[in-house]
Amino acid sequence: MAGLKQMSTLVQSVLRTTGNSCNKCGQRHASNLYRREKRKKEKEDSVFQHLGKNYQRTDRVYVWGNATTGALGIRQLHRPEKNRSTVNTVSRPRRLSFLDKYDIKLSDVGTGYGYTVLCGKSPNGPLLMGCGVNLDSQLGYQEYPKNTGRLLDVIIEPVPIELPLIEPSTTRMTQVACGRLHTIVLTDKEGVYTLGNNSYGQCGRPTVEGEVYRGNQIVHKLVTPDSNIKQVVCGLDHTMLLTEGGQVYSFGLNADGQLGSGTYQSEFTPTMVKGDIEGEKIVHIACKADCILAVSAKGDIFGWGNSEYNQLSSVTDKTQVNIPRHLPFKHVGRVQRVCATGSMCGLINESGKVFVWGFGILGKGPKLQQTGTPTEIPMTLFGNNEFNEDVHVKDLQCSLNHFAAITNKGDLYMWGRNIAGALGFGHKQDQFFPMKVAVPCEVSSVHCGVDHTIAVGKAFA
Amino acid sequence: MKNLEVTLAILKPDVLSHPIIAQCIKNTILRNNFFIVRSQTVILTKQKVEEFYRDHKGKFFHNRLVTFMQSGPVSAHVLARQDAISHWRKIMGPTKVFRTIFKEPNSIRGQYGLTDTRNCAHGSDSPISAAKEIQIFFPDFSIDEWYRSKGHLFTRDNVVFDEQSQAHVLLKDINSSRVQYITNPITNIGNVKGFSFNKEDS
Amino acid sequence: MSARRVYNALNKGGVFCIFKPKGISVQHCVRKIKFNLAQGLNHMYNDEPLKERVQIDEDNIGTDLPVVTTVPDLAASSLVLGPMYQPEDFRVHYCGELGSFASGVTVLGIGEGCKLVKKILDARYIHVYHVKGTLGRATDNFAPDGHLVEKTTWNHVKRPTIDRILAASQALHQRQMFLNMRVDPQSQEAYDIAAKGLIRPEDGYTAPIIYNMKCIEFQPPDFTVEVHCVNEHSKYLRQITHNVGLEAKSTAICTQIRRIRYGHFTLSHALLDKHWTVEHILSNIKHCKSLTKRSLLKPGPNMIQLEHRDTSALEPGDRDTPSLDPGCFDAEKRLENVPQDQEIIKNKR
Repeated sequence: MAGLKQMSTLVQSVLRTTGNSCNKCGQRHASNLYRREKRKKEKEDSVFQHLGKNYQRTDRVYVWGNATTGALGIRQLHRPEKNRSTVNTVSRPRRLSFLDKYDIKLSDVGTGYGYTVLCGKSPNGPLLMGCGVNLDSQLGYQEYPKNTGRLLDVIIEPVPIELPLIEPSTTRMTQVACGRLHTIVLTDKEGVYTLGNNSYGQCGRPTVEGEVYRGNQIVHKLVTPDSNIKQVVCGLDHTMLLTEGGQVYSFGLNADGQLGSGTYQSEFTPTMVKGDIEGEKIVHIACKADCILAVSAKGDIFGWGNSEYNQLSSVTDKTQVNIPRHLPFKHVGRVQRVCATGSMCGLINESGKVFVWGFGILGKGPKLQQTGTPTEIPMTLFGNNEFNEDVHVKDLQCSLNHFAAITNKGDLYMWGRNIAGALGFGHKQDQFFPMKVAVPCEVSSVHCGVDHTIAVGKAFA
Repeated sequence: MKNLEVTLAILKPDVLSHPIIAQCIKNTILRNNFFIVRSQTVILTKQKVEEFYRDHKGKFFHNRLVTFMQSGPVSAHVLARQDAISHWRKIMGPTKVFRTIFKEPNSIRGQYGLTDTRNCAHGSDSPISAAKEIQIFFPDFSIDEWYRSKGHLFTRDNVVFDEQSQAHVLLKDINSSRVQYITNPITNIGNVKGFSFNKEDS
Repeated sequence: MSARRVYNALNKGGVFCIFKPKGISVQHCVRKIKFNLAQGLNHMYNDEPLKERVQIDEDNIGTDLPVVTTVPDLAASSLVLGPMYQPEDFRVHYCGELGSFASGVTVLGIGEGCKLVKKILDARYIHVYHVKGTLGRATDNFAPDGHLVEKTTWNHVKRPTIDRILAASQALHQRQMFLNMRVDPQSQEAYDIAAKGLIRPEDGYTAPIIYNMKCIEFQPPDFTVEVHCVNEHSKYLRQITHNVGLEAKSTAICTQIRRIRYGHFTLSHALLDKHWTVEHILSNIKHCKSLTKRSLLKPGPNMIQLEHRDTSALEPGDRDTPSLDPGCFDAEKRLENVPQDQEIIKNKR
């Protein structure tokens, strides 16, 4: 009996969806004409509005790469919903919906070795968050549940990182930089804070023999020689500070001469980098591993640190350069921005063209190249053709083995070694020339970790 | 059946600071039919590292290798297998990571290596150096003694991997209650529940 | 000039181009042209004096010699034969389909010129369209005459919005072009092809390839998009406006498609339908002769084989893949995914 009833409701619902038939007998009655016409008119009159009245173009954040570390900040990848399996790699851009949920506006993102630090503003006030590997307290002291001593080693969704600020409600975090195991946070009025591993002094405090970094509660406030810090940059195990006046301060590991101090001894106090950059106004520094490049206001490049793969071979044959040297590249013109991976370097000149040198997948085909002089990547690979002649590259970022470039049209191009799908092409094969990543937004900045990538942009409409 | 060979494998601080990769490498070791005879996680002192790397003294990377090795905990393992020394070096890959990632992308260094110094692991290059290096990390461990007493008993059927000591143990040596099959005893994976970023919720 | 000579000239033929009006198919245009040509030649033929026939009169009175006279040959008169030229006497081929919804430059070959049509097709000229759209409505066939699916507001859509969407969509198309190459993407060959710039497909069976899209006019709710493309079809162009509408958080239908350029043939060469007559076509053939030189007909640079893939069968994207992605063309599916926080305003008009 119950089955019959179910059947009849099913038949009715089918009839209802297939045509304007009578609900009871399934035939078409003339009396339904009125209703039909009314429904048609309703459809004509109803106007959908897909946006609210005060709509603005929203910020969108896309993440992809290795998900096992939790650095992508999407909880569902580790704790999937019912009938879904855990995800180890995300090889296509995926929206980080966490930020939309809590209405957080990002100001900067730092990507380290398996972890991510996000700083921004929530309706509650300024906020610093982090997710990913936290074995050396690079995301602060994270204990959950509270007072149980259960330390979170891998955090799969952004959690707030508390800094000992004097005015936590008004002090904004403006920049974050992440190295291999340490995090540097730049605030607008309260200076620089450091968290994480300090085994080389990369946090700017004296190294303590036998210090345990897991579950370490120390957040160090850096005593900076200059209060106007413009940029903080982290190598794998060292830190650089760039001041508004154009001076560079460095501390941390110095085994390859990363500090540019003339020695190979690690240092924990910020010391001014001398050498060829003394007296020059530096406007931009870049470093991801052990080779450091700096650009002056005049458009000259300076380099120091590791040079095992011909990064600095234009001026020296040494594999470790502990004092900044001017790199005389005449053919590239004035330099705007630089980036330095572990074995490769790249630069953008004033006309927006990209030059690369070093060893690895430089972006000029599958043949591995080792070159000490910058060679240009054809602009046609960045979408510059007879129809679009005004395309140029405005930002160049890198990780240890791959590059990412953003054009003035807001397109993201990536190439290099594809660790865990960190290039976002939907596969894990290496890419030998710049290829556009299908990020569904106008990309404004990209942040490359060792095996994950975060792109920040704005919606099209 | 050929005799087992022992070698010393060291997982360097860059691996131990990343729990996921550490687990992957340990799984690789087990998958390659190595017996882990002894395991130890230590933070090395400078003297010990310099003693360990005295062959490299004078080379340009000696300083950075020594500073790197003492920067964090390392885990040393005595591995046993037929042709253990050559096989461990084979699955580990060449030293120069930036070249290994193209030449041998499936080796341990090719997959997880960061830079030439931070290259995941170390392996002895000959039986003599293996004996020397094992002596540095495990002074109480004698290779000959082990061969005599237990080495001939180590087969797939006779041993079981003990998560607590991170080593293979002879089945007859242990009482079964001690064997724990916990996948990952130290790493806590999770998120903070109940924290609200919104004003309305709090 | 006699009708015969004109017919021979047409049969020797060449290439001419017409402006196909909206609402009729290309085939219909061809029929109409054939009819016009036959009619024009018949008029010329009828206006000519009749051919004369020699008549020998033998039974003449008074002389033994036969008298030779010429009389009009009534057998050649159209009143006897019927029309001298039939529409079937002309061979006219067309280059490329243009649906009846669209209008614009269409290249036709006549007589021996039909052989050139194949060569023009093989050159894979880039076609330029002006696609007009209107925001605020969505229909099932993306055209104004389809069934209404939804009405939306469009006040928030500004010109930069459309520009951004088109730029992003075009970049995605170029990426798709490289992915569709029948070359291993890891090889040196792939790099060499990509470094040379835009790719031209070798045949006409690939998915549509868009080289450039820009908004040339924006008067809300109407907008016009200039599209440079190859291997497109009419429905695809209508989908472009639909997708622009969806990406702009609104909806749009396509109101007009106009082909303003077919390779070297532009609007200035095209004959309007009132000029589809014998003399205009003859002069147009002469005019277009310079556009079918051998140097202009050779294949374009960087011409390679692309995969024959249907656009709907491209690799599936993630949930966040935009409708801009050339692989994502399903109007109904997209409309189901409207945001949940939408408002419905009921206008009481």
